[in-house]
Amino acid sequence: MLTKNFKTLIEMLAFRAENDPEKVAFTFLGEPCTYAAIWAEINYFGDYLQELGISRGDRVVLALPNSAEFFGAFYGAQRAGAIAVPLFPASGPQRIFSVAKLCGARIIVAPSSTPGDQLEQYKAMGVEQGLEVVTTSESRQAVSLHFPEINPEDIAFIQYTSGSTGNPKGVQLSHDNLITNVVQMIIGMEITKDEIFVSWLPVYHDMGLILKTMVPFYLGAEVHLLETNLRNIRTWLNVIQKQRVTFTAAPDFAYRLCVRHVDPGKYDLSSLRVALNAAEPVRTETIREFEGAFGLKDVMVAGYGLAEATVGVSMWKPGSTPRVDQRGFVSVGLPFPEVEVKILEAGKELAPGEVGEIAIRSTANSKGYFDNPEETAQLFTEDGFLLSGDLGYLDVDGHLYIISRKKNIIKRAGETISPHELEEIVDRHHAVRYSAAIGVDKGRIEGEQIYVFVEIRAAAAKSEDDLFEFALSIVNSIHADMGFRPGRVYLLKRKSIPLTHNGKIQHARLKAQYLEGELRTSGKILFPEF
Amino acid sequence: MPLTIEEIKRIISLQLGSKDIGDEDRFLEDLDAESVDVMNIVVAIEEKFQVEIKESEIPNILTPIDLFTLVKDRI
Repeated sequence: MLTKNFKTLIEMLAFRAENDPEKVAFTFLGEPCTYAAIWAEINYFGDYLQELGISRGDRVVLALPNSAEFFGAFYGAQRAGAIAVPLFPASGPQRIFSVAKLCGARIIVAPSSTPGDQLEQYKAMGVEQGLEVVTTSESRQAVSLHFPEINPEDIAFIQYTSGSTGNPKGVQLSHDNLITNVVQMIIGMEITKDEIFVSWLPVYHDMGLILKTMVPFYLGAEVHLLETNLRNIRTWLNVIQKQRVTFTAAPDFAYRLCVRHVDPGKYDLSSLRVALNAAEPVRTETIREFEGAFGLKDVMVAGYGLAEATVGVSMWKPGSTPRVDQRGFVSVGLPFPEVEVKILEAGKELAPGEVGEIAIRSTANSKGYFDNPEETAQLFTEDGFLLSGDLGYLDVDGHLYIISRKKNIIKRAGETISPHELEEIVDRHHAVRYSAAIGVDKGRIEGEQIYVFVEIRAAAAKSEDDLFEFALSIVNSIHADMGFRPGRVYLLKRKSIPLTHNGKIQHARLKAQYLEGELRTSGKILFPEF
Repeated sequence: MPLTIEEIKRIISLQLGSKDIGDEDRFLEDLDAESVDVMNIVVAIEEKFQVEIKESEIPNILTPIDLFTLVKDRI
């Protein structure tokens, strides 16, 4: 049995505030925040939420970027017995409101830094949708101290993830799921209280939130947080050098950026014990180039996880050379303690070396999706294994290898995005018949980009100018709702997107037709000409 | 026919969803682009004009005119 020092996240933070009040919980952009300060913010905001009528089990949506205030809001919601629902903050209001409705939230927390007129507008839009938009700065600096008791099985937060079809799904994570996975990762990654972390990963998303903040809070270890903006990867490397950071984590593309865009001679990264490479397929050349450029050895290790299993499932043991199989797949190591992994095909367990669906059993497994019994029922086997939707195999020694994602999802900069979500946005345009979104990797260091293929109604395709304007409007709709722009928008003739007999979009086939040039040679692409 | 900056700006417009692109506007600061948008513009230009732009050249592409200057003699 795992030894857990705390039963809930709230107990963990209360303990730190009582025993190490002046200890720095984290720095954000160099500004320190002590456990006493964060605990005070948690209580103020928890109290404010209670004043607004929030009680046990209510959902509170957080649309907050990496910031100190995130933690007051995230744990403040839990302090009031509520469930935090952190979302990608750059999403447009429409998407934020739609997820808020999906999870039945009444309150949305916006950044305190939102300009006054924008906040007023946001609040007014909320009122129209029956939602109240608040900021952490509105909370009184007073505490009633009447907070409900939090139990290990209470849901702490819901992580929304993109599935291949339908609406985004809300993975429910209890305090016990989270504490369990934190302990599993601490043991599996041999993390101690002396570890020094840096992270620019989103604090509103699993790896950045759980591994890079809950783990250090659990241990009372040092963590330096940065903005998610990677425009200046030098900031990241500077912090590693200056703070003598021992543990960092990022998707593969970020390490590739380091190798290509900075002069490695200018940075001393020798303090690093672990550079975890996860959330995207791990490339052997990334490990070789990154370690080669910065003079490191056996520091970059591959890891695997998914939101439905809280976050971490396995990681290659730091300090030893990762195994790479004949096909070039980098092993993600042995499962963490008390995590069972088996490989299934059609319900049957496969032998070592055979590729099938990765299935996971652990106390850290979510109990299922919020308000979604159908998808939850499909998530587990009868004996309680979580079906990951990812394909892989175990070698004879039990090391896991990830081959591909079975689910039809796009990975953009380490985040999973569902084609369906994007297609819904595009299909709102009246001139669109069908649209299909796929992930395309053109070999550039940023990895997979989103390419959108749009069949348009004949009447809309009058002139080159019309097509140009139309493509622009699609880019803008996606940018407004998702917070990023697609890599390319193609406008197609009618009946160009391959469908199954029952009308389902065949994404894999479309991708093959595009990459092999068939879409172009068959004259199906109306616009643009490249 | 020699390349014009208008052709380059058309591709930039398609990536950024805006027609309001000045020759010397900075991608990140003035045009609200992300570095990944610049990469997508580079890929589009490579495919449209059959030229190669090296990874090492991308950090120096700060404005439309930089991009134009970089590729005009390669076409």
